[in-house]
Amino acid sequence: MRRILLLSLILLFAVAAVADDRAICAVCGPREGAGFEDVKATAMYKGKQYFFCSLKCKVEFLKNPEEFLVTDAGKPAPAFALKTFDGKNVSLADYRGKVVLLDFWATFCAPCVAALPELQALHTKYGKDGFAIVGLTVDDRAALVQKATSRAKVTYPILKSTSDVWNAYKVNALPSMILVGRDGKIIKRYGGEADKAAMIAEIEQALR
Amino acid sequence: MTFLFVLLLTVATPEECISRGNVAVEHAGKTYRLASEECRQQFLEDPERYAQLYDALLELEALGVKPKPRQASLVPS
Repeated sequence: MRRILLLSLILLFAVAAVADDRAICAVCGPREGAGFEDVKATAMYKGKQYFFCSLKCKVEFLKNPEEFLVTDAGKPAPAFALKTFDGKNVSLADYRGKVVLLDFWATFCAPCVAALPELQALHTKYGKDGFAIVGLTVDDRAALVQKATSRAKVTYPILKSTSDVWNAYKVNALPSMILVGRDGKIIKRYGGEADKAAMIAEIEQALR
Repeated sequence: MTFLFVLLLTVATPEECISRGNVAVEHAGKTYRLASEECRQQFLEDPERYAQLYDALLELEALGVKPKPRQASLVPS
């Protein structure tokens, strides 16, 4: 009897831990990578299938798919000024003259969390050449953000983002990364699970 | 310029089109009743996309969610 009670308690804690990792849909839109959230709707566009975390997001996508699939290379990266989880002010202007990779992520996005150690490695490797990574999350659960970033030994700033900034960058899928050149203009947008070799080549190209 | 501005403000939104009007259009064995001839023309330009959009709007309506029509933007893109 005691054993059954103990097993039930362990099971209950396990379920609670999984539930804690789930979050309400903060970002909706087509996903190329594997998402953590349940897929609630799908749509076909130009022979490709897109997945959404709500029916409303599907409607917004179908109204103007091209707006979602925008390429904005060459356009100035929208300015932002945000705070880190420990209250430090960080703005995009601080990185003028550097090549910056903006990583839009959330703790409930499994591929985003899995990419953190690799991003940190890039930040360390190319930092001396004028490269930096800035993480932006809409996840306000500081404990989960802290847990994910300390596990990956992240040293680059993680900013508490607002939906305004995500909207300005037209982020509608996770993972989403945007490479910004030394001149402050967008070089490339990476959606879903990015081709890492191609991304490194583009970072090196931008640093030349 | 004025013509374009007027045109922008008079384009029917998908929410306005799917109002069970008198104009019918068929796609993949299904009949959609649209608000106007303009809506039908819009539908025929991209039937696959509009059929999915209208199905999703009708599904939202059945769930009791009233989608808000998008406001016409006055900011040039």
